[in-house]
Amino acid sequence: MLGRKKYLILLVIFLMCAAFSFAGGQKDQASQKTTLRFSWWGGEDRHNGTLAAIDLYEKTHPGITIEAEYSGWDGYYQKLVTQIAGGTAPDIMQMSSEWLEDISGKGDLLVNLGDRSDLDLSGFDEKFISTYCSIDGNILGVPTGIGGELLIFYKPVLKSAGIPLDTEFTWESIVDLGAKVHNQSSDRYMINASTSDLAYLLQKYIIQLSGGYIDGKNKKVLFSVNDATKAFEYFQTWFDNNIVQPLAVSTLFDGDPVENPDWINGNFGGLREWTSGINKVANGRPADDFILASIPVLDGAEDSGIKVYPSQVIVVNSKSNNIDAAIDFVNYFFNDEDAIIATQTIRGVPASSIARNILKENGLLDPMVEKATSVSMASMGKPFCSLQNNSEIKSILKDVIEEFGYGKLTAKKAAETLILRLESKLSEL
Amino acid sequence: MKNIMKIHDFDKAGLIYISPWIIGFLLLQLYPLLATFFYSFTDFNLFTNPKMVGLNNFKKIFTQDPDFWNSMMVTFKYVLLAVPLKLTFALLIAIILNTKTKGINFFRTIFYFPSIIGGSVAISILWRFLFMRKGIINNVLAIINIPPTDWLGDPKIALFTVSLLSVWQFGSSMVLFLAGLKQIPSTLIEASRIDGAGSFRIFFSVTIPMITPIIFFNLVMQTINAFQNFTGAFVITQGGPMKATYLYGIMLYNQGFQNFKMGYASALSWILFLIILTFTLILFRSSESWVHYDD
Amino acid sequence: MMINMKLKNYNRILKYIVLVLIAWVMIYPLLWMIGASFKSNAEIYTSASFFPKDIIMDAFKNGWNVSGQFTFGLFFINTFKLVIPTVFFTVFSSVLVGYGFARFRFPLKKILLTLMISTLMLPDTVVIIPRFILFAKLGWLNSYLPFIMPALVGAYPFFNFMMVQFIRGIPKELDDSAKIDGCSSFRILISILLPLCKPAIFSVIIFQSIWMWNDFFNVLIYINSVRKFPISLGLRMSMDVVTKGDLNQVMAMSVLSVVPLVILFFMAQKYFVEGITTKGLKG
Repeated sequence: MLGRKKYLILLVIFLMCAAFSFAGGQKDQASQKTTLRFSWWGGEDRHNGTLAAIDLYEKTHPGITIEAEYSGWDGYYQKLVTQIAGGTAPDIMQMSSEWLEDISGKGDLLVNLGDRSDLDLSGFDEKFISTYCSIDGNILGVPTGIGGELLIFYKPVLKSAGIPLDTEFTWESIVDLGAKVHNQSSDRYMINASTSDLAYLLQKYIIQLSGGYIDGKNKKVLFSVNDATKAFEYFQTWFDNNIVQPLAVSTLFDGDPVENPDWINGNFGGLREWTSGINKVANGRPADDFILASIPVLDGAEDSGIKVYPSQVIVVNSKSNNIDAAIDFVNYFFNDEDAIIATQTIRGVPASSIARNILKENGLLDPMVEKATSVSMASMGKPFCSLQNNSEIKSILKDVIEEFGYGKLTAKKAAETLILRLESKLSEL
Repeated sequence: MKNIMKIHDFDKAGLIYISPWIIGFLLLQLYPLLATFFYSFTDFNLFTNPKMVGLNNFKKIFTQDPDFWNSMMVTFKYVLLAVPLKLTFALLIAIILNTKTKGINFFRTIFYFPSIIGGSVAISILWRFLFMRKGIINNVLAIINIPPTDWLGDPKIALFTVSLLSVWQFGSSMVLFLAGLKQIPSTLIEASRIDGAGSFRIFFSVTIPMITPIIFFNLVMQTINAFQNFTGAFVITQGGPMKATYLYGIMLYNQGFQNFKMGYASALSWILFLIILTFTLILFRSSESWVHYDD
Repeated sequence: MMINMKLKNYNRILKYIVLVLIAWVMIYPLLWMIGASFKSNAEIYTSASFFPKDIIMDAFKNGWNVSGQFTFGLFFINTFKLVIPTVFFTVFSSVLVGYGFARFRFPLKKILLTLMISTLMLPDTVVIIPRFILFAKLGWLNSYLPFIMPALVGAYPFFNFMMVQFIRGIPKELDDSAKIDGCSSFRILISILLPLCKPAIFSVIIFQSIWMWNDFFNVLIYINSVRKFPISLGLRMSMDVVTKGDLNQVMAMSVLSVVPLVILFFMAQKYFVEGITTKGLKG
């Protein structure tokens, strides 16, 4: 009895297949307009500021449309990578300078901006660009802002523990004075740091002791077991003197120490943060409540290990169909006065001196962000070598610190384990 | 003769009914499947073309990757913990809700909320509140003098806490059980009652057997899902502390999208595939003895 | 008699106590989210209680106008554009495919069924890259087609398998008597099985709606234009790596976005209550 119904069903199948083929891409009709795609991540301020700059550009360049593809941070990198793999990456992209090495090393994906005479990079410090935005001598990205890291202390907690506000915060003083904070109240701790932050700080300590961390090119570990043991022993004093919360408590807020209710309730003396996070740290409290201090540096250290780097970089896709138009926009974005005023410090203190001057003239530089940046730059360390930012290398340190913090490894054992795992991973990569 | 011919024709129609799936499979699913299989024998960093490396990935996984064995164990523990708990809860609640209960619509909707909210940002924040050392759970337990536990910070307990998140979302399994219970013809129940069977007897001899197809479905689906699941742990613990909640799915995601070893990740995923397939085949085989179909 | 009544009452009270306790655990997060929409950002991170210390009304208004370019209203509409066709086609294909596997015997059936279910066993993480490449080649990027088209062709095996199980649970006598009466397979499906499958079909609708509504990663990969963002992307749009944005706004919009789903579920309850009246069983 299938009879006639059979044809009906076959018709449905045919229609589905037809739908498939016709559902395919509505290709852009060849239009007079050039369209550029520009992607970035950020928060509301950054979206609004960047859109304003794009608007201004479109008004003065009527043949060009810029498709803004913006979103939050979650998934941005994965999406970018997927797009690159599928050949559909945007023309202009915001990236972290740390990704440049991974992405550029794998094929000719980014335009060499150093070669472009239509891009004015004179406002940027040459060394800054050649260190952080170039790979093998090719300038691959334009730095947006200057990012750094520093310590931020909360005056009320220091005051009530009797710590003078003009203390010089050295590695020793943090322990000596910090113990007072916890003694004053068992709810309070000197430093709000969990595994990730401890890893950052320990790495600096090691670099300050030994002058280096790893040599990516020659696949060598640059510090000795002794150096590492000293570093771990130092941080053991943090746990022993209750400078930090036990890992089992703080690990819930690893990577987001600002979300720790104890921080919001004012139970911590300080934390380590990137300059871009300054405003989040204050979280509505007056700027006066905070002391901005450099991460401590050991006397006689050659390299402080403190990172100062581009907040982000803007790159141009070498597979784009409109490279000239893209470069023109990038040039405008970084050098045009109106664009600079529209974007202000949404990506940190501008890396371009041209931009900084314009903002200063117009009173638009956020004082706290500016101060944080200069504090960080004052103790700037040597640039991280390649592979130091490699995700697998980074997680080795995190894992070892975690095991150390949970008491599974002694300081000496932790040092040995760290070196062993680093060496083995370096030989693999 | 005519009857047999009719039936033969009739059964062939089945192929036409499943033709949408066949088309979909050939056009949309076959290529990705084969591609990932191919990738598992390559070094593929997503930016350049894959490079053949033969069985290297698999060799490394089994002999040089401590994370692999750890994640295997963590995931197995998770599956054995979360799936039975979740299904038991779902079935019990469904049975309770299937009786004449005042406000049953209201309860049903509320029990389903966790599944509706899903993996939202709110959940991860709230979960931290509940389970941090000074969190609500510890505060409640303090009332009966139980000392505070680090539900998410203690490597020995963290996995259990993460499983709770999955169990808490039992709503979808519950909905399916309810649907199955509702599909039982009331005439069957009435007939048994007329025959003199009591409620207990009816429950075990009629109701349960009639919903075994759904029990089976939930069992298979929840198991498959539990093996691959990772968003909860990823957001709340990032696989920590000390990889105590480093589910296979997290390891896979990190290898693929963080370390850019798509070839390696593909190999990992096909190993997982084989494990899940084995489990599922065992479940299917066992179903022949306890699942009751009316055909 | 009296003891029986008492036992029954105790039973009932116990039942309600258990239900209310569990309901409280289930609903609390939603209540907290609602309360959080009226709190300040700092308070959200520090208080698990439902009641805000000071009620702040801005979160809804500011959250609605989230990016300056578009409002959340647009994101809602986009979500409907994404979800409704996908759900519709999912029901369409899963009923057909489920029926085919459940009621017919044809060559290779077991193998095909196993093949269908095994497509679920490969984790999304790795399949997403070749899928992306495939959809890019088909030109379906930056549209909702990567979700709608698979629904049309039964590429969501979860629902196919679900319908298989539900249909197999319906007594075959109904089919057989209709067959003897001369009904075609299609007729049997439409007139006999579909009405009995209402709870199952509504489960498909509810599940697929909720999954599509909440899907973040897959949608993120395929949609570029902010103009086409559904709610799941819109919610996280302003959450930067360092500044997590105004969390109370995210909460407010999350609460709003949950409302349609709750309404859908509540309305679908009717079909779970209806149950079955089987007519021809004794005929």
